[in-house]
Amino acid sequence: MSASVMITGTSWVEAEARTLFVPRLNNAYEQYLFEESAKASGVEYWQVKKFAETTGLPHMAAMEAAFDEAVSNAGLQRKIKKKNGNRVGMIYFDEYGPISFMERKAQIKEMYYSDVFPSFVLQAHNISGYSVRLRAERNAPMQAMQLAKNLIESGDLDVVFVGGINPCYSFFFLSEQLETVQWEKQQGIKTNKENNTRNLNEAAAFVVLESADHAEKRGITHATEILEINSGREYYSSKQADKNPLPNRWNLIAQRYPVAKAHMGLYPSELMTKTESMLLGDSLGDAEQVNWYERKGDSNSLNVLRVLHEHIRISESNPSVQLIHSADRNGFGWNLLFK
Amino acid sequence: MGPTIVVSGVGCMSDYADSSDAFFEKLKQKECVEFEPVFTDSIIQEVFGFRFNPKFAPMKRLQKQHGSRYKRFGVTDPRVALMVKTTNAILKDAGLTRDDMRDERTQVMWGAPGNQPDLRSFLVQMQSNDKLDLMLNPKLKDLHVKKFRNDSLTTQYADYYDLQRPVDTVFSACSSSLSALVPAMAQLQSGQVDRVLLLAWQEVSTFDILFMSGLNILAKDQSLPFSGETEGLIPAFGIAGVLLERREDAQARGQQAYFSVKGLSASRAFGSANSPSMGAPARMLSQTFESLIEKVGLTPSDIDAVFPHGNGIRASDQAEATAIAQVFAETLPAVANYTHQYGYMLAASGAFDLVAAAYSFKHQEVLPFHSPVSLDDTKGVNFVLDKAQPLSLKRLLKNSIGIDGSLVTAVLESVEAA
Repeated sequence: MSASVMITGTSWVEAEARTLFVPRLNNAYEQYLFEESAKASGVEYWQVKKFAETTGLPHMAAMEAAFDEAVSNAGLQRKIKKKNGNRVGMIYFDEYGPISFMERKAQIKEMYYSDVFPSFVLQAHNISGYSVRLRAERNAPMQAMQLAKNLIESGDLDVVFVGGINPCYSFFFLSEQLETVQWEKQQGIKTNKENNTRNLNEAAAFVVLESADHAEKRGITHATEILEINSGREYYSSKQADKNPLPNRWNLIAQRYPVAKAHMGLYPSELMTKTESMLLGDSLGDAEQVNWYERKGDSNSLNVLRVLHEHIRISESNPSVQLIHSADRNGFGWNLLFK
Repeated sequence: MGPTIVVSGVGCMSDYADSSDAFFEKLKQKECVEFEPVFTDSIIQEVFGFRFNPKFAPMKRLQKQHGSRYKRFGVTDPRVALMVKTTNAILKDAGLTRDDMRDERTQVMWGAPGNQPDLRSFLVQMQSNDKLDLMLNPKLKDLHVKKFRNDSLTTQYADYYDLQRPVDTVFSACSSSLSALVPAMAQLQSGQVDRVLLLAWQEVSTFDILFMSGLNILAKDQSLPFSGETEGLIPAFGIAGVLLERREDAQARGQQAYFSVKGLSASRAFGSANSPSMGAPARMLSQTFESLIEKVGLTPSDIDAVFPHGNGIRASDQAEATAIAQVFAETLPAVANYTHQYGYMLAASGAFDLVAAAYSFKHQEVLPFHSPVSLDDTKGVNFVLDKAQPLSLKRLLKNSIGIDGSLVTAVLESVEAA
């Protein structure tokens, strides 16, 4: 193997049964958000998989389970040798900042692990290398993987765990829906109100990034290689369509890599998905398009990790080059190329 | 070995001083900031269960003063306005302009916890509220994703500068400033970017106050780092940053850099799986200092000055002082900590010390710090207390400790010695 960066492990822990969200009668604000959101977007049914309700598993326990699964899947020892512990790190991402107070039972220890850093998983595995929390948006995994890749390439670390959790709190998903409608309005697009149901998943997930040399020394002979992660400004407004650099970016990618499959639709906006699909056809015409829009339920920032997990763990081994594209409302889009 | 990375511009803002020049001047005069009570209403203090009203320095006046200035440019959040103002000061100091921020090869890193909601707006009524509550407390609507998402801030900042790369916001509690240095250095040394603007900040949010109160680390009256009489810490909202680039790029512009970053050590190695860590033990600190110094090809006698973390939590300060005394017993480098004067800047504390280090390297002296009490708890440490200590400053060790268990240490070197 070369000095490249590989994905040597993945994990995915998801809540099980879906329950229909009904706003609480004693919470006028929740009802207000629910009604406003339905009026603006047409979404009246929120099918939500929640850890506490369907599995009894709190968020941090789900995160721990996902981390342990990633350790195991990567073939790493449960207790990393102490002398090597500082060569392993974690980039833990989150979208919302402090949320422990959403749970009535949260005490100072829960606040610490949930809102500052879940250091207990590192201590449990003797991991003592550079580890931080990354505050980012839906594309947090892309951003975190890019940071991890840099740290591996610079020689700071050999292995980096990248992951997080997706909590589904009513105040967040209802107001998020309102924000999306507001964003679509700003782009001059009429919101499609035909789809009246949204499926949301609470989940926890990790991927393990590792230098190829380190993986080879451990006897890993086959792993998914990260070819490139890039980001840039994107424009989805019809008024700014000519400014959208996506075609150029994808044309450049097409010159460098024979992309066989392109995953898109990771942001639950029909506008974004249609634009991506149309532009993709122009630039990467031969690539098979996989549209994740509402395919398996929305797990927010974990959607990217789900694609990787399903490709690596569930799909058959496939050496072809694949692309994951995902954009945020903040105007930045990301491309991840792997094989 | 990669290219030499230098700091070519600095800037800061807080209630203590609204610019780096004012900051240096106040440090020279050994001035102290005036703190204010967190709760303006004793009823709210009781609702949140506080036995005493803690103090802080929240930059309210500066947010009000500058908050409206950038509104016509789309910067509607006063916190972002202060970040923009500080960023512009750093750019000017580095001989760069706003156009350089638009460059595809410019990366912005925030060492910060990011956006946090004001829990006072909704915490009490979050689980149960009626229409009357909604009418009487319009702030209940702050229980909205835009008050939680970090892009509420980064989008305004990125749009103002038309950044071509997303802002990376990394957080490792109070070592966030130096933690952000690690990926910044990796990107610069690999040649992926030409410059990194590292901006560290942490607003003192209600969450922070509740969390620190829960840990019993807030001072009632006095925070006196490295003194046996300290009661804990007094937090302050501060923004500080540096411009990092390759030495030859700064030289090509004719820009005199302040110092170079010779080496970094970042680890996460204290606390246990069952309990959060409140500080790093002295032995671990001394091992970290020694191994970093050795890694960069130096010995303890090559270190002329030390800026410790010094947050005002007694156990943490004592461990740091013990480690400094052990490692530098023979050479006694100048040790300075200004936390008592401007407040504990949390995630930004390391960046404020980088700004102070810029002064020290430029003027070849370590400014004295003010302590109203004796520091006799910390024998064997050469604290600079009375007057500025002139020295031939070649290398400075900066240490940073996060309550999340992180420990980040940097060796900074004069540009001439690099």
